[in-house]
Amino acid sequence: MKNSLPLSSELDRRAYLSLAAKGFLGVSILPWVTPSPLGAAGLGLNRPFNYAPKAKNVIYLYMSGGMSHLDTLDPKSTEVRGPMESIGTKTDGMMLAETLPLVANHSEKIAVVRGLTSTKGAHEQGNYFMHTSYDKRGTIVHPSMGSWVTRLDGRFNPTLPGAVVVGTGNAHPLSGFLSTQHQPLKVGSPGKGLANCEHKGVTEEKFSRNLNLAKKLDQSFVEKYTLASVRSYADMYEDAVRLMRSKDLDAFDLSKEPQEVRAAYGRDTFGQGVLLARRLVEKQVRFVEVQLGGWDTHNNNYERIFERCDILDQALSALLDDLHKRGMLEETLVVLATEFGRTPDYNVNEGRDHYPKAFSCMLAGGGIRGGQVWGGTDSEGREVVDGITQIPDFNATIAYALGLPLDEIIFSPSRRPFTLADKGQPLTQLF
Amino acid sequence: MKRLSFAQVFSFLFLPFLLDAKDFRLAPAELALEVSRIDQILQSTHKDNQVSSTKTLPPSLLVRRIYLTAAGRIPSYPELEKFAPFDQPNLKEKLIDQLLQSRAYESQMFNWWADHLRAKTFVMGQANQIGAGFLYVDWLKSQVAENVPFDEMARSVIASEGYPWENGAVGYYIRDDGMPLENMSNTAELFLGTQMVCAQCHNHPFDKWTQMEYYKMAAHTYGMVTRLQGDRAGEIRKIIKDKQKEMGSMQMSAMVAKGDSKEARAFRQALQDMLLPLQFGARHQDRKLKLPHDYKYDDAKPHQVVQAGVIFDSNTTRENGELSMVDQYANWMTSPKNPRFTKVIANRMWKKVFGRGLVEPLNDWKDDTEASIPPLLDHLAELMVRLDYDLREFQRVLMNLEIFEKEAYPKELEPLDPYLFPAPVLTRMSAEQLWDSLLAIFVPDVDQRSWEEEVDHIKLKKETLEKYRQKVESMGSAQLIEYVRDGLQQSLEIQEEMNGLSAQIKEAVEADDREELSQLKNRQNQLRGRQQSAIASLIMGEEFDVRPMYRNNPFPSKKPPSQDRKKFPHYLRRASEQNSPTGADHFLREFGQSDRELIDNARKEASVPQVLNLLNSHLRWKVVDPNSVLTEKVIEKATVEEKIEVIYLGMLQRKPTDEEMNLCIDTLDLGDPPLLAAYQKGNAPEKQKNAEKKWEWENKRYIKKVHDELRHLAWVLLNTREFSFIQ
Repeated sequence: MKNSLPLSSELDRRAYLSLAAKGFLGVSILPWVTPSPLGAAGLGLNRPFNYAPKAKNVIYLYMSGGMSHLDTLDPKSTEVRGPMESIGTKTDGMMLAETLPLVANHSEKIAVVRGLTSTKGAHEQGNYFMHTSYDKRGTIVHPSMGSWVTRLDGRFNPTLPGAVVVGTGNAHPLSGFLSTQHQPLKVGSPGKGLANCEHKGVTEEKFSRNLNLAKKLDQSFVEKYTLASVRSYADMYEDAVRLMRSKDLDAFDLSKEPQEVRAAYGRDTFGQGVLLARRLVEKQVRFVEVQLGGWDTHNNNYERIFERCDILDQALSALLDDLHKRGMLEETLVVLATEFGRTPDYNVNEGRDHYPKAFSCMLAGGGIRGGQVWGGTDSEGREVVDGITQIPDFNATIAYALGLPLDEIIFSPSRRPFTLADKGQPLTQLF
Repeated sequence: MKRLSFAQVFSFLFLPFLLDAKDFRLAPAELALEVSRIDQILQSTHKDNQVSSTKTLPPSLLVRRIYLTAAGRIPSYPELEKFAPFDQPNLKEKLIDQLLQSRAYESQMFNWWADHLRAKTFVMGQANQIGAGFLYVDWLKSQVAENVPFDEMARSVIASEGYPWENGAVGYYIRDDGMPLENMSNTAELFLGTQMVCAQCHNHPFDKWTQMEYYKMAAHTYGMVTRLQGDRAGEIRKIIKDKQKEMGSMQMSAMVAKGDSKEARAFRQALQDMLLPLQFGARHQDRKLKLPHDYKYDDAKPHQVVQAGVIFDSNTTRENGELSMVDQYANWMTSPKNPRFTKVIANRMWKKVFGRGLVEPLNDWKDDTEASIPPLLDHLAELMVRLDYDLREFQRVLMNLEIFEKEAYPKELEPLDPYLFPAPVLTRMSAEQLWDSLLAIFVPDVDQRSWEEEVDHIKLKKETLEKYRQKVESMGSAQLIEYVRDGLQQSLEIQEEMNGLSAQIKEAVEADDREELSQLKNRQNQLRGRQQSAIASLIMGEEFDVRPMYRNNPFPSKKPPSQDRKKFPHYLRRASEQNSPTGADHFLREFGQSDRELIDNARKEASVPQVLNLLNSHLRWKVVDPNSVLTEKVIEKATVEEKIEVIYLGMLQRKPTDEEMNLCIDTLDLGDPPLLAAYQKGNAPEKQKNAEKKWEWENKRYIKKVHDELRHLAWVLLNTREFSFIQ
């Protein structure tokens, strides 16, 4: 009766998920779902009363090293662009660089955000800021977005991890100060899937017996050292065993995909990672990040951008196409992000250097209105002249799409208060 | 002073032996004195603050801690067995010295250095084709083996010059090719413990550094060029241009740099291939750094040239006309008078040994930064200078401290809590310690193992590159052009063949024919290899094999693998002998090995893939497979109790408690040994032999079953926190 009201439909969605899980598992208390999903406690003041979030899960493509905005999403005049051409898209007025011809065919699905700006011009700091909305400090590690999602909104699939990161180095903040239950699972090479998931040559009975024995023999040590670093391994053992027994473990196995689908995403690690992301999201993993490195084009920008964009263009366009055909695009938010842009001026090595002052990202699906460009830079891509967007605003937009409470305060173990996008305000106009 | 007398006794006892061990800087009496000074600082700090220490570790666990700290791994069972029953006098002192002089020490120090110098086996871009990263790593190993002092190492990398095979230290700049500003930030972070990187674009928001200071610092090393053949290539182009005018030759004109004909491209490619081996290195040049176009502060204008300047006054005379800018910078950076340099490394070493810095975090020092025990850090800095920055000697002192013998501290420490070090901090083994410890359990002589083929190949590579350099440098540019022209036809032919292959590869991709594809790609790689080395081959002559210059993998061995290699394949070598870093899905990376992108970037957090690895990877059985060192010892023992004890000692370096022993015996499906008497009973004397045989057979079956179940026990212990944490 009241289902037409946005708030109640949001509550219904949660109630449904919770009930579905109960019916399905025959349990009434789900430790992996945040406490009282039906109560009002989790609903902060910034909870969108006038917007029913459509996105359930996120595929987050991170271009590590600083993707040149000028040669991808924000093409400029020839002096700045060099030999790069711009191309039109299906959407009137939306121009992209010629490096992304396949993505251009999906312009009606995407929202380009061209007004991003930041002050972090170094990889480590910029990458960290994009992932956490907080400045990198030596004394605390903030959680990345995927961990916030499971912390504030729980897992949807009880046996698979809540968040997964594919192809990242050691710099990823992962779950930061949040408990390791929220730690995204790192996958090294998507083609190999998740290694060591079966206890080959050991019967289930012996496997369980051994686990129990290990627990008992370790008891005195674990009781003596009740430290977070020690305890977190207990969480990981629980997660690992649950994962091993998951009926959805196949989600990690790309060989289950038809060859033509694998080829469509691109045979490279990134393309296969994006395909893996789709498979995981299909099984309700909440947040899957896939990284593509090599964007730090200090040398030979022109050639290297083409090389990177070939990979990105193929995978991203295949993903948008695939999600659309499967009817998953509405509930899946696709994000293209990077730490900063590149200088409009070419350097002596025919490269572009770091440029945090103005750069671009992209959103699609998950309730985002496609075919739009938000914000803009001047004629050389040096300054944001329209729709200036701070990184926390961009991250708040992701949270908004998922219906996460932007003002819910979570305390770190050192009792410092944090919110998921710091003070960022969502770009509600994109929806 | 109480400890001193004990230590003096020790030093008199061992003086004659230690005179041989000349590599240690401190004589035993001196060592004892240094140790007691620090012990006293700690004791009085603990007394003043009413902090009480933890219990002293049982001897076998102290041996474990010493091994992990000095050798980077746990002791193998045979190594541990030698110390039983742990009652030799001065066991600790002797063991520390012995391990610090072993190859195991070098192995773990290499890991530390590689993490801090971001030493990568595979560098980005073209420099990788000549293996610049391999040469960097190779250099680093040689320096660690010689125990080169820390300040000297710092100067070696900052002011490195030459080709990578002459001086691998240039890898420090080659790995950051094209990123001179980032390189400077990393240098400042590593040696001064300060994060200037934010000031690259604007004044630092949480520190005092201005953008101007950043650029002034960067100006010192901005003249460090890593591309060495620019002049030569330019000279060659000029000669061609001139000749072309002179001769008007069509062929020559096609070769000129800008042409886009097939020949022109082939010529450029050939020229590049010829010069590639000599392209990368480091040289100090006079290159001016300018402020960025959006410089917004009042003290200067955008694009203005910046004069080099330092961020601390260290009373060293930097201006020395005879030294290059970079050398002056290196001298300033590493001066004992530089207020940060010494304290930062002393703090890093303290953390390495005790699990936490006196100053935390390690890489964010500010003017008001205070150590948790200020007089201790001051003292350590003085000690570091007195020891001439000998890191091995410094760690020797730290490991001999009284608190090193204590059980790890059992309470949670928040990142900012000032910790007064009543005991070492509990840490999980690093990825390298864990991997190396696993290996130590079952691989004999684990410290001596490397991938010999690769080691030999690097040697050969260095020799080949040096001969090539000599030959090319002895030639004029005109002569080199002749070679390029002579080889051009050959190069073009190979190109034709490769183009043909490309078409076939495209077809194979479309048909998704994996096998065909990999064959084609192999052939293409071979052809590219031939093309790449074509001109170099002409220059060096038929007889000379130039391939090692362009190739990083050793040639496939023609010898059949040895028995030992079959039992212990070469992937079972210590972390330091693997690629730096290992691939993203290697055990080491899953357990947090540094990716060598940032300084001090190893991690120790738990993760699901780690657990899956310990639960299910093939390594879990290796520990107790038939070739395992531990298995051998298990077999030697007669009773189940003794066997269980061996496994406990081999993995946790302690005996099981009675309770644990009972639990193991009750839980494991061991059964009871067959009793000979039971078989003999009631049999006539002539049937005794048969009965005995039957018993023997049953007994064998029983032993097999026991060993089978004990494999599970090893698996169980591998999956305890007690194994992977350092108590």
